[in-house]
Amino acid sequence: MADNSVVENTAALLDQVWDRRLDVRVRRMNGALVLRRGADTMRVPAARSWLWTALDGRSTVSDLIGAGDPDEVRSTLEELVRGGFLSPAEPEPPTVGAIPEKRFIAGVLGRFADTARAGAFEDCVVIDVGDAALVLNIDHPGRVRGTPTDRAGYEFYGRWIAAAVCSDVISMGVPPLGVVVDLQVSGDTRVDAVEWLYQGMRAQLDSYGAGLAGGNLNAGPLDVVAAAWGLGVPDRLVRRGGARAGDVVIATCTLGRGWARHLLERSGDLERVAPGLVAEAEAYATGIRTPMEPILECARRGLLTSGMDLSDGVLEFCHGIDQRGRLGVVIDAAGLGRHPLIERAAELLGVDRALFALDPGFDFPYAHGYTVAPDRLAELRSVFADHEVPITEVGRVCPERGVRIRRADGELRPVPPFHDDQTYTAAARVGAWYALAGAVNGRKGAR
Amino acid sequence: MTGWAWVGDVLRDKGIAGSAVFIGGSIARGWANPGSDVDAYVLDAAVDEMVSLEPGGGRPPVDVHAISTATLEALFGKVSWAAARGGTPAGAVTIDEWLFLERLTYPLPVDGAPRLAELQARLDNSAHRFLTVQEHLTDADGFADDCLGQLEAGDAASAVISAQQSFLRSLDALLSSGGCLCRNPKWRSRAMREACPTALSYRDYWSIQTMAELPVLGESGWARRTLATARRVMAEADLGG
Repeated sequence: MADNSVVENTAALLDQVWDRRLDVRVRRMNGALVLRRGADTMRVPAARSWLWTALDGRSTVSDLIGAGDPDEVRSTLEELVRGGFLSPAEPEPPTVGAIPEKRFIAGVLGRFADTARAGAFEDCVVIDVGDAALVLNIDHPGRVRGTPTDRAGYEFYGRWIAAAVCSDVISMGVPPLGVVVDLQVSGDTRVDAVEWLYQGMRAQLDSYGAGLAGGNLNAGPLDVVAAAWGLGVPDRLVRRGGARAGDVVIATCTLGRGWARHLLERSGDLERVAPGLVAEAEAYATGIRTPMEPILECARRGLLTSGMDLSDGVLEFCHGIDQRGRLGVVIDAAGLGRHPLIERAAELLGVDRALFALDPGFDFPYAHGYTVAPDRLAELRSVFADHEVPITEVGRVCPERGVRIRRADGELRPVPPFHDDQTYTAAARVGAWYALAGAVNGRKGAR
Repeated sequence: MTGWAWVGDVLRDKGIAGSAVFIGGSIARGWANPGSDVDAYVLDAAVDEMVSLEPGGGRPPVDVHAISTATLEALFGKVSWAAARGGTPAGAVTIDEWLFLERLTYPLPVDGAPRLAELQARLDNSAHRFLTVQEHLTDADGFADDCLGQLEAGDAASAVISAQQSFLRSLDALLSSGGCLCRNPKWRSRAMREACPTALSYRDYWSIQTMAELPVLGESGWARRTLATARRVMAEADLGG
C-alpha cells in the first residue's frame, strides 16, 4: 500500500516516478481495464487506462499529461496508488545501464584513464609522439538501419562504421590515416556479406584518403568496434575547449534535416511530404560523409577556436562551452530550421522549426560544431562555400553562463542540456526532445 | 480452389463425404513450406474418424479429419456464451478441438462453401475468441506468478524462462484478441508480421522471443523487464465480451 502522505499531496503524486507492480493481474474488457491484486480490484475507465500502462518506472504523470489538466487524472491515479497497483520506482542500482554514457566516461572511466576526466576529454585520445600528436579514436558504431540483410545493407553499414570512427579524428582538424576493425559476426553469416561490409568501409575510407589497416574477427551476434587515427600538429588541434566570448557557433550542415526525417518517419507523416523532399531526405540519410576538406582547411588556417563532432547533438557542444569555458551561448532561432523538409515537419508536427536543430545528433556525420572569431566568420564562410558545403550559424558565445535561445519574438529562454546518449531507447529519445521543445516554448511536454 | 480440388476427388474416391470440406493449417494461411502437412476437414461426416491418405501421382499425403454433426454441435456447445458464462472448465476443450476451431477461422474451402460460411458465422458469434484470450491470459498469469516466486527464491535462470513464457502467452492473447489466432508457437513470428499489433513492435517481440538482451540486462533484470512488458501486453488484449 502507498504512503498516504503521497496521495494527499497532489504535486508529489504527479511528480513521483511510478512503476507498475508486476503481481497485478490485468484484464481489458471493451476498452476498460480491470486490475486485480490480492483482494483488491479496480476498474480503470478506458480513457484513464494509460495511467497504468504508460507508467514504467521512467516517467512521471506530469511528464505524460504534458500541458493537460492534472485534475482530470488525479482521482484515478489516487485510486491506483491507494490500491497498491503502482509502486514508487525504486532508485536504480548503480548498474552500467543506469548511468548516462557521458557521466560514465567522466565519472567511472575518468578515474582510471588519463584522458577521460570530466572537462578534459576530447573527441579523440591525443598521444604525444615527438613533434606530432597521434589522434586516436575508438568507437562502437551502432546499426542505425537495423541488422543488414542484403548487399546494400551491409555496404551501408560498412560505410557507416568508417564514417563514424573517422568523424572524431576529422573533428579535431586532423585527416584520418587508417582504421582497424574488430568485427563480430555469427557463424552462419555468408562470407560475401562480410566482404560487402568491408567494401563499404573501403569505399568510405577511400573518399577520406585513409586505409583499412587490419582487424580481427570474432564469432557472435553482429557487432563492431573500430579505431581510427591520424597525425596532427599539437598546437593546431581543434579541441572542445577554447571558445571565446563573441565567437560565432557554427555547424557544418543544415542542422535538423536528419531529425525532421526521423520524426516524420516515426509519426507516419513522411507520406504527407512532397516526394521530391522525401527523395532528397533519403539521399541525405544515405550520403553520410563528413565535409572533411573545408573542416581541415579551416583548421589549417587556424579559424576554429574550439569544436567537436555533433554525433550527440549541438546542445552538447553549447553546454560544453558553458562548462569548460565558463561562458554561455545564445542560440539564435531565426537562423535555424531553414530547410523545406524541416519547415514541412514543423508544420505537420506542430513544433517550431528552429527546435529541430536542437536534435540528438541525427545530422551525424555531416554535423560538426565549431566556434570561430567573428572577424574570421566571412573567411570560414568562404572556405565552406568553395566546397559547396552549407553551414548553420547556431548563435554566439557570450560572457554570461548558460545556454539560452533567442526566440523569434525576441524573448530569451534557457535551454536545458539535451544530447543523445547510448542509454536512450528510441522512444525515450523522442520523448526527451519533445519535453525540451515544450520547455523552450514555456510549457511541459508539448506533443 | 483450383489447386486443391483434387483433395475433394480423393475423398469421394475413398467414400468419405460430408456437407463441407476445407483444408486448414499453414496451407490455408499462406504460410506453407515444402514439408507442410495437408490437413483436410470433412464436416457433418457420417462418423468421426481420422484417416491418412496417400493419393499418389506426386501429390502429398492428406490427413483427413472427418467430424460428425453431433461432434460439431458438442464442440460449439463448449465454446458458447452460455458455457463461457458458466465457467468452461480448463481442459474442457482439447488441443485438437482448439486447433480445429482455429482452422475453421482460416479455411481453404474445397467443397460446400455455404455450410462452411454458416459455421464460420456461428463461430464468430460464439465465445470462442473470448475463451481463447482468457485461456492465454490465465496461462500468462500463472507463468508470471512463477517468475516472481523464482526471483524471490533467487532462481533467476528459471525466472527467465517463466518470464518469457508469460510474455509469449500474453502475446498470444493480444494476437487472438485482435482476431489473429495462432496456437502453434512455430508460427508466432508469421502471425506477428501479419497482425502488426500497435501495442507491440515486431522488433520488441523478436528481442524477447530470442532473449537478445539477456546478456546485456542479466538474468533477473531481463526477467523483470520481460514480465513488465508481458503485463503491458496483457493490458492491451481486450476480451471483448
